[in-house]
Amino acid sequence: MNCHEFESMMIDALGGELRESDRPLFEEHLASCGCCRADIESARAAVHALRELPAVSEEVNRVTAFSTPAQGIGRRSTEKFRNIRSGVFWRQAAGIVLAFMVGYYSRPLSPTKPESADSLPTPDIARTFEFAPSSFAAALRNTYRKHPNRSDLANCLAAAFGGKR
Amino acid sequence: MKTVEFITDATRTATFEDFQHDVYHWAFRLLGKHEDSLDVIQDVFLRWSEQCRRDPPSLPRPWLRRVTINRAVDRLREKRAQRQKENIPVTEDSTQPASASSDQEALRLDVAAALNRLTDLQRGVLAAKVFESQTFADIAAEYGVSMSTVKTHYLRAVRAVRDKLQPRWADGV
Repeated sequence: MNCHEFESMMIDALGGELRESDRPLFEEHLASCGCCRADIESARAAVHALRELPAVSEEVNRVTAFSTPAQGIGRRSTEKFRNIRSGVFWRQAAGIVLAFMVGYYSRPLSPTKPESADSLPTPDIARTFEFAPSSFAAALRNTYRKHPNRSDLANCLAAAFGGKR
Repeated sequence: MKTVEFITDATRTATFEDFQHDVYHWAFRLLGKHEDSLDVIQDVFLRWSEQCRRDPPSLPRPWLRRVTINRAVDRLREKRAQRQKENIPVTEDSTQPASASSDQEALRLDVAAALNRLTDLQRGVLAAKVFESQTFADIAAEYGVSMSTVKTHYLRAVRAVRDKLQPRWADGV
């Protein structure tokens, strides 16, 4: 048997379909031809490397919640709502409502002369909050005076309600 | 008309339920990441649904296998390009991987690079034989080609992968 004839047997052998009747001839050629031996050994190694690639992640095997892959498809969108269920969303919403309430109640109670824009710490602040309701603007101004190193709205709110950014 | 739509939808749903595991396994073999495999499932069945509307394939399995492997290879190619862009060493430079997982990722990138050079039929034959252990006769019947054609494609595909992986073995990886 020459190397060309051996090739068809080699394919069968690689695919695990070599007939028993062909095996002696196959082994005989393999023992006598170094090229074919090297060829089939490297090809077997390639097939082995492909077969060794895991078909499923260990994580999926461990997590019983996802019994089918499809159940994982909606997982990302589900995660968006997990925050709502876990209370993170509600805590943030409550924080915003509280911010407005504190702003409202921390406004000056006695009727005082409204502060002019010149008395504000910086002109930027005046411009930024000129659209806001007076009580809220006043609350922010008070907060800004207490924490002058914090200038943007989010940091002012964080300073007012004890949050950290 | 409404009945036809209903039947088509039912067929699509049945196909999804029948093949979702297979599609996941094909994708995961190449991608090695659960999230990426789920993305591929989603993408593949979306395309399947579109294909069903236009021209339903006679056999779902070969079609799904082909599209899944193509999609996974595309994804790995994008990943490889991104790694090169970010100067993260890819296979050629990672002869001594930091861990088994990075070694497997490098192996997957090499396999994807090898599959990228193959035809759809060669990829499909290789996946059917190696990942699913189908017989040559079954694969030939599935693709509607002769058994000798399947064997030829199988050998070419194996040799392409071998040629790509051989430098790794030479480096003792």
